[in-house]
Amino acid sequence: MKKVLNLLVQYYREHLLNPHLGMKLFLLQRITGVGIAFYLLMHMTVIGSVRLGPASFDRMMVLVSEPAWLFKPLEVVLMAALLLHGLNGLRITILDFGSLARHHRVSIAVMAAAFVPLVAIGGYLFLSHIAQG
Amino acid sequence: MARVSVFRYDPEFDSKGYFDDFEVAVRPGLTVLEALINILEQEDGGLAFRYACRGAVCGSCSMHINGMYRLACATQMSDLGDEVVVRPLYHLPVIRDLVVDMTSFWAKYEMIRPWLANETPLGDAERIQSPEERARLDNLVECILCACCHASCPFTDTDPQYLGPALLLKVDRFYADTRDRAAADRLAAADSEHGVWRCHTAYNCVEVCPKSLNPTASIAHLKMGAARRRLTGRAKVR
Amino acid sequence: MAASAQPTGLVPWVLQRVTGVLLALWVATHFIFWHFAHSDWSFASVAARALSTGFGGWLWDVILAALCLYHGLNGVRNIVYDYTPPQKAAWLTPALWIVGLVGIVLIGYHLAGFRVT
Repeated sequence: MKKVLNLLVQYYREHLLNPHLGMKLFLLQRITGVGIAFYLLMHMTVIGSVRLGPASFDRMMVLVSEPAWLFKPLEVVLMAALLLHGLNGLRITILDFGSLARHHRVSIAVMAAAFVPLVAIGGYLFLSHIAQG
Repeated sequence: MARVSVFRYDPEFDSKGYFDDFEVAVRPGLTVLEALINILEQEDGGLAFRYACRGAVCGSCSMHINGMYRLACATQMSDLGDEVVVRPLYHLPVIRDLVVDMTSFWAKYEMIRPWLANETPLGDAERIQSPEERARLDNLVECILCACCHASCPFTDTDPQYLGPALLLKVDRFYADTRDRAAADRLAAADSEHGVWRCHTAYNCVEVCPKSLNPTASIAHLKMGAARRRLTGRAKVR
Repeated sequence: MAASAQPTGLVPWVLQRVTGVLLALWVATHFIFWHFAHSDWSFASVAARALSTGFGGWLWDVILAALCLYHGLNGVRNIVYDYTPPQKAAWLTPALWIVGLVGIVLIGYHLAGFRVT
């Protein structure tokens, strides 16, 4: 645990010395990656409750969706994390194709242009209860 | 006037580093290196730092200045504002003050065999290169090995054996050179867990390079070369 | 297919990108399908949706889980290798494979719970 804390402090220190956008996006990629991994553990446990019977499953689904004022915003956070990790991942994949690596600034602008509207629309849909779950 | 805070550390006396503040009169054209030399001559003769050419070609005066790794001789004091903070390069041991131990960096440099590998006899002619082939080397031969990129890359710290952006760019310099006959060896040096696969495209190297080079592009080029060699068995430069 | 003798990080690097691109599409579909186009989270409704596509529906989710497992565990491997040289962590890759294979078996088994009528 202390080792992990040291690692996080090191990342923070690196970022202080290099407060560049690329560095921030790398850190966010790691953080969302680990975060999504933990979410998936929970998600699979929740869905896996179906093996205990339909009634257990129904109870479990109620547990993770009520109160709505807590879970809807959490789901928006999950969606934002997924979008960030995914879009940034696609950006990195494209940049690793040799000569495309010269267009760093542009790649960030393009990614932001996709990310912001998608999060905004998705967040709106969640929070205005049009979406369920 | 500007206040220059300089990192100080003397292993004989100090258990850890600290900062000394100096007041420097800023005139147009004053570089950070000149400011440091003024401090050395007028205020503290014990301040240790490296410099040589004062013209951004030797790579000796690289240090961390106000949020970025730069060459002190190529940084204008008037661009930095009233507070200037100067630190040595990170990821390398500090010998004293702003001087770092570049031994491990040079050891890795030797490891990648940074010379043109071509045993074929020259005869009367030179080794011919077309202008296009030479142009491919343009942003590769200009590396002055200042290690700004090496210091800014987070992964040279987490993995001390990682070659790092500067040295991978140097590998690419030879890989992309049509006169070099060791493409497979170049790729073998790069295609390793201490080579290109430690690059996570954070792009700090590109942000800080004083020569505006792009180590990430070089690393991407080497990754593609490594993939091509695996899939087709050929290491030829495209 | 010519390949050099010792493994480097090339194949995992390529597969991370391949699974990543597939996941970008697949997770987007999965998310939209279950979060935006679904009306009710009861067993009956979820099972009806999963059952309505039969074995295909189950397989679809199992493949998604496999992609997630590969991409996530490979990510863990990358983070560990950033700090520990591969020679010192030779046990890691087999351990992650075991976790992944056990995981996919468990997930396949549990997802099949929706097909019980």
